Amino acid sequence: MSLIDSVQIAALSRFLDTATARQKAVTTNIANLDTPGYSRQRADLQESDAIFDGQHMFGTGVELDQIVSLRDRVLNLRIQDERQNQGALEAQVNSLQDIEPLFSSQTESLNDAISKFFGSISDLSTNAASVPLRQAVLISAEDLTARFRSASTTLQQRQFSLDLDIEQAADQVNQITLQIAHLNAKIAGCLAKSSEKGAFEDQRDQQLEALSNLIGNQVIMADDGLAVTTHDGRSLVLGGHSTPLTTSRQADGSVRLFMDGQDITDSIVGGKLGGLITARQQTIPKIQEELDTLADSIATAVNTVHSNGTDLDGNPGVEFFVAPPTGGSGAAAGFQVNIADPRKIAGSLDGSAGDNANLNAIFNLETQPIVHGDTPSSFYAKVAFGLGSQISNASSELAASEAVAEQFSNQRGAISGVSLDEEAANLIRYQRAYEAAARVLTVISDLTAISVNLGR
Amino acid sequence: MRVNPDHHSSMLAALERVGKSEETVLAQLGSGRKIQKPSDDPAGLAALVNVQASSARSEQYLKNISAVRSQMQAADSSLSSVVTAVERALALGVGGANGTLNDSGRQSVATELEGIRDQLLELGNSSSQGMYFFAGTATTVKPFREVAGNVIYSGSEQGNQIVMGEGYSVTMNVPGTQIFGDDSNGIFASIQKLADAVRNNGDVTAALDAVSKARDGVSKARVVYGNSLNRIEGTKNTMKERQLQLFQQETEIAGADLAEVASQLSSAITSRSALLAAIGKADSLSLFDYLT
Repeated sequence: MSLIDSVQIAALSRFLDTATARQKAVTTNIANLDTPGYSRQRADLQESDAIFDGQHMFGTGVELDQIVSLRDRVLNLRIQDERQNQGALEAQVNSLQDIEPLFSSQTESLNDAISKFFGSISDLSTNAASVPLRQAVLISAEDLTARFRSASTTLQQRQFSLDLDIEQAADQVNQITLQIAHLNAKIAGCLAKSSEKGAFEDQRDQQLEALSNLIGNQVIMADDGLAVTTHDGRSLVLGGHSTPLTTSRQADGSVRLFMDGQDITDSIVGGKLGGLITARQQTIPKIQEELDTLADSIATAVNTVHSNGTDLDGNPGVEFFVAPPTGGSGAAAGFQVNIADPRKIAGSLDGSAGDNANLNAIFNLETQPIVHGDTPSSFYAKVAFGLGSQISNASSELAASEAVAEQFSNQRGAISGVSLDEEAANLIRYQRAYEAAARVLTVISDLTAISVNLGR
Repeated sequence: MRVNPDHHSSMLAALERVGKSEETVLAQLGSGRKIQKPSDDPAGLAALVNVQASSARSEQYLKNISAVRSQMQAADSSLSSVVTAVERALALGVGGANGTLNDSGRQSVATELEGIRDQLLELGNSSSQGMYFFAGTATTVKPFREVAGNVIYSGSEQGNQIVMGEGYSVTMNVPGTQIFGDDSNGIFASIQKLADAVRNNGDVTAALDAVSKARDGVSKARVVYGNSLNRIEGTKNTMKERQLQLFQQETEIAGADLAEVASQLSSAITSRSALLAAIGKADSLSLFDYLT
C-alpha cells in the first residue's frame, strides 16, 4: 500500500466529474427557472464499489447514478383531472354568459315587451274605437314579436359560433394528441437514465395538461409507454400513434364529432369540448325551446280570444298573430303580427265598434296560466331562473375548481419547482467540495514532491 | 416539507380574486342594483321579474283609472248641465201651466222649451276623442238623432267595463237610455210633449209629471256616476299604495345596500394594496445576494 496510488487519483477525478454533473443540474435548474412545466433536476450520486486488497476494504469514491427530474405522476394526473373540469366549466360559463343579457331584469327585456303589449290592449279598452290607440297596439305587438325574433336569432348565432369553437377545439385536440404521440416515441428511444428523457416527459406532461383542458380523457401509464383514451375508452393516443377527431356538419349546420367513423359527440364529457357540446346540444336548445313555448302560448291564446270578437267594421276577428307552427318549434323565430290594419283588431263582442269586452278578455290573459300552467311573466321568470342558476352554479364550481387547481399546482411546485435559494446553497456546497478535492490533490502533490526530494 | 418556491402564481390568483370582487362592487355602486343579470341572484331575479310584472300591471290599472276618470268627469259635467236644463224646462212648464199667459206668451215658452230640448240633445251627444259618452258600447255612433221631430236613440244597451284592478272594473259609457229614458217616455219626448201642451194649452200638468219623472232618471244616473267616481278615486289610492309596496319590494330584492357595498369596496382596496406590497417584498431577498 503506498501513499499515492492510482485508485485514489481515479476516485478524486470521479469526484470532480460528479461535482461537474451536479453543477450542471444546478445550471439547468436556474436556466429553467421560468420554463412552464419544467421539473427540477437532481444529480443522484452513489458510492462507487469498494476494493479489497486482501486485508482491508478501501472506498473508491463516488460516481454519478442518474440525473432525475423530480415529479409526482399521481399529482400530475390529478391536476389533469381538475383541468378537465375547469375546461368544461369555463366553456359553459363563457358560452352562456353571452346569452344571459337576453334575460336581464332591465327594461328592454322580453318580459317588459310582454307587459307593454298587454298594457296597450288595456289602453285601447278605454276607448275601443280609437284608431291611434289601435295603432299603438299594433306597434307594441310588433315590438313584442321583434324581441322574440331577435332573442331567437341571438341564440342561433351563439350556436353557430359554438359550432366553430367545437371545430377549433377538435383541431387543437388533434395537434396535441399528435405531439403526445411524437413525444411518446422520443421517450421510448431515450436511455433510461438520461436527462433528455426528463425534458421530454416535462413536455409531455405539459401537453397532457393542455389536452385535459380541451377534452375529458384518461391516461394509462404502462412500462412501454403511455396511452390516452376518452372517458368511454376510445384511444386518442397509443404509444407513438394518435387517432384524430374528425368533424362533420349536419344539414342544420350543427357540428358532430367522429372518431374512426363513429359519432362520439354525445359521449364526450369534460374539457372545453365537453363544455361546448353541453352548451351547444343541451343548454341553448333548451332555452330556445322555452322561448318557443312562450311565443307559441302567447300567440295561440291571443289568437283564440281574438277570433271570438268582431273588428271595427263588424267583421269577425282574424288571427292576431301569424299562427305558430304546430308543436311550437320555431315559434319564437317566426313570431309575427298577422294584422296590419288597426281596424282589424277585434275588440268587440257585441258587434258595436266601441265595445271593449274582447279587449278586456285579451288583457286578462296576461294573468292567466296560458303557458304550460304559468302566466307569461312567471314562465319567463322560470326560464331566467334556470339560466341564471346554471351560470351561477357553473361559476361557483369553476371557482372551487380553480382553488383546487391552485392547491395542486402549489403541491407540484413544492416537488418540481426550482428554488433559487436551494440552488444557491447547493452551489456553495459543490464549490466547497470541489475546492476540498482540489486541495487534497495539492496535498498529495506536495507530499509527492517531498518524497521525491527525500533521496537527494 | 419543501414549499412551492414560486409564490407568484398564487399571489396573482389572489390579486385576480380581489380584482373580481372590486369589479362586482363597482358595478353595484354604478347601477345601485345588486342584480344585473340572472346569475347574480337567480332566485332574486325570478322574484324581481314577477314583481316587475305586477308593477307594470298596476301601472296599467292606474293609466286606465286616469283615462276613465277624465271621461266620467266630462260625462258627469254634461249630466249636470242636463239637470240644470231640465230644471229650467220644469220651471218654464209650471209658468206655462198657471193660465196667466196669452197665446203668444205660451208660444214663446213652447219655443224656449224646444230650445231646451235641442240643448239636451246636444248634451246627450257629448263626446270626447271621438267617443260618445252616452252611446253604450256603440261609442262611435251618435246616440241621439232627431228623426221626423222625434229623438231616436241609436246607441247600444250595454256599457263598457274598464278594468281597474284584478277582477275589478267600472262601467264607462253608460247606455243613453239608462240616463235619458226611452224614445217614447224619455226626457226628449217628455219635453217635446210639454212644449206641445203649453203651445196648444193642453194637459200641461200631466206633461210636467212626465218631465219630472225623466229628470229623476237623470238624477239617479248622476248618483251612479258620482259613486263610480268615488270608487275610482278609492281604487286609485289603493293602487298607488300597491305600487309603492311593489317598488319597495323591488328595492329590497334588487337594490344594492350602498353602505355595505362601499365598505366592501374599501376592504377590497385594502386587500389589494396589502397584496401588492407583499408581492413587492416577497421576492426582494435571495441567497444569491449574500454570495460574494
